[in-house]
Amino acid sequence: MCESGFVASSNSAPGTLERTDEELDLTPRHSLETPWRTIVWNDPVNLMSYVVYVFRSYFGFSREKATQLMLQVHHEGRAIVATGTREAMEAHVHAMHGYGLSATVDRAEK
Amino acid sequence: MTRVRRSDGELTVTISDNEFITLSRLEADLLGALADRLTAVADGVAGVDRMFPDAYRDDAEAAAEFHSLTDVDLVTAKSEAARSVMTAFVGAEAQASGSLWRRSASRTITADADLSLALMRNLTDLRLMIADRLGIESDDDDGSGGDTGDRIVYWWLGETQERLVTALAADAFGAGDR
Repeated sequence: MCESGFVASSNSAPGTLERTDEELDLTPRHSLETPWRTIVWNDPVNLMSYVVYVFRSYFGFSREKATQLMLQVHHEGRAIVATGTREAMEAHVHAMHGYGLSATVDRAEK
Repeated sequence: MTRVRRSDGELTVTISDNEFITLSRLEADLLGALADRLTAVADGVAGVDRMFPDAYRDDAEAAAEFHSLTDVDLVTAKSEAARSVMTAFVGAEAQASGSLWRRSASRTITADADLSLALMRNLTDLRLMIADRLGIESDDDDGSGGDTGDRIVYWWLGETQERLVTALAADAFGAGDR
């Protein structure tokens, strides 16, 4: 992701993001009812603040969770942002593409 | 430089006349690229495009099917966003400021929630389009293509996007919650 470090007036510079102590459980659920997941991938264009904004406004995540997921995308290249039915995950992916984020659907590993 | 201000749940965005001219060109380029995508989809030759990522990484058939089901919708949404942004700025009266000899003009739009969202998505699409010209492929990659103008525009759009997101986040989630 693009850090947009040259924005002096920004309050959302990466250095000011707070890490929370709680570990986020991102383990996909393996039940037969929810074998699909939505993955958001890192891209070099989208701003970190924008990705956090999208996660918060679309998924309704807290600031902490949205920030954790954004950082995971940034550092690890991807993050699982939802699990559920294939139909629901495809709707999420379509929405993410609408926001200009790179997202994919796949089947959670057994 | 673009100004973004927030008051009473509304955003005002002010751009200079030069920025307005640049934006108009970019939107025309974007609408052209989106129209080309529609043609490519219809002809079954749509290739890899940052604005239209694959929804399946390891399943080419599923990825192609997803494109066939969603690309037209994405083109429509992206085109509508571009048009509503242009309509807003075209409709905004150019205001002169400065002294007689150093006169400059600017345009200010007031954006409700819908227009703010359209602007944010549209700036993203414009940045994706220019990142392609610049050949930006990874984080910390400035790209090797494009020209100086593209580089300046890419920086400007990013700066504007950052300000817009900051203002919208403060609006949506509370001023103290950043």
